[in-house]
Amino acid sequence: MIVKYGMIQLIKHEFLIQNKVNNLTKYFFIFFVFCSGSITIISSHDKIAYFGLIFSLISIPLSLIGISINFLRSEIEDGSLELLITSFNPIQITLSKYINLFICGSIAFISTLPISYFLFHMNTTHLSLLFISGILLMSTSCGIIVLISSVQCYFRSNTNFLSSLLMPLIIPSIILSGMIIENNNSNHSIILILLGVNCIVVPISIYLSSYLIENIYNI
Amino acid sequence: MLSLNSVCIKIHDLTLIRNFSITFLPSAIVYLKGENGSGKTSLLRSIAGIQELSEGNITFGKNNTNIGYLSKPYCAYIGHKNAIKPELTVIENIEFWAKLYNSYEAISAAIFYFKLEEIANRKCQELSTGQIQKVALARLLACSSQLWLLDEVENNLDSEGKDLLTRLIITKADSGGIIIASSHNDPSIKSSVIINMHDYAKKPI
Repeated sequence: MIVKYGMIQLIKHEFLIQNKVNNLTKYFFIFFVFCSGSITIISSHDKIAYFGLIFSLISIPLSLIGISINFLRSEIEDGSLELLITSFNPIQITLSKYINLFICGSIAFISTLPISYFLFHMNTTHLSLLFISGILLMSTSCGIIVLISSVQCYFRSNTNFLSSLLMPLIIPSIILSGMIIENNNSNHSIILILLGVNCIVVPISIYLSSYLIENIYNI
Repeated sequence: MLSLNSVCIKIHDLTLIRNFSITFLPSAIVYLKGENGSGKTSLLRSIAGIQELSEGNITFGKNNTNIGYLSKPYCAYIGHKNAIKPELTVIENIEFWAKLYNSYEAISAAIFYFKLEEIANRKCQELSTGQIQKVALARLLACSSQLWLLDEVENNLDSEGKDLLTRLIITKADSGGIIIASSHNDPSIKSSVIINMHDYAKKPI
């Protein structure tokens, strides 16, 4: 019971940190609005709705890549991670970071849905497909970004190189999300595949990240 | 009671501490002394469960439980870096930890003790380094724990802050707490035990 209460406290604390220190939700919101808005200005594509929606989805991992460098490193630099390890298990720390990244990203993404609805003249089916694929893509991307930020902190050298090796793990989810948007009818199976990718990538990323965090001070 | 049994700490190929065994009883005030790289921080981190031991084990509590099996948090720790978020206010920096240690009511006492009332709602980025160190110490006071691990916490404190810290350590020890601190200066508490890390480190078996 105490552990559960502590975990909730940690998630709340992490939410406060991410929003007050890193302005994560605002950053995501501005990024998504910029990406989806700019596409209507610069594109003369016939199928602007599809193209724009897919670009809006791609902006999710793009926005997350921007925050990956400082996501965990700032915690190490100011000593917060040491203090967190004295009070929580590495898996709890990683999970709270993942949950908050997902919540902040999802709040911003959902906030931009009405904007996309008007910009791209979407119908309800399209909107729901964008919502589902966006949330699933957000989930995978958050898992991989948490892993990348842990790798960047654990390995003190060649961090950018290692990060760029992990980045392509997001690509299958991006392709699948694009397919969900493009195929209006037969996309149930693709949604399930994307869900399956999530079920594999997210737990592995969280487990590996917690292992790296556990050993960050043992080098 | 805190016991270190045949503790060995290695970093890469360098043995910092070899075969170190000691028991600290309640009310012990211990200062770890030694030059840079002698293993003071590593030892404190190992006791806090941040860093793994290369060999040996550490037990704590009435039942001498291995720290790996203790439910966290079992100690209050201040490292070299004080873990204060500059973007948060003084209260916000203390609040989360006090809640975690189930000692929410101690926040106001901690703020009062370190004379932080006037700056309690100011963001820490507006404070001086010494004031930030006092916030870290106020957080320590707000966290109810019987084991305090302090890594060179006297740095950046003015004479008044050092006096407050000394009195706080003595009060904690009087209530049965164990305080282990590392310092480069001679301790001002006469009843404290000084462990010279050089005597235990790199000693051949």
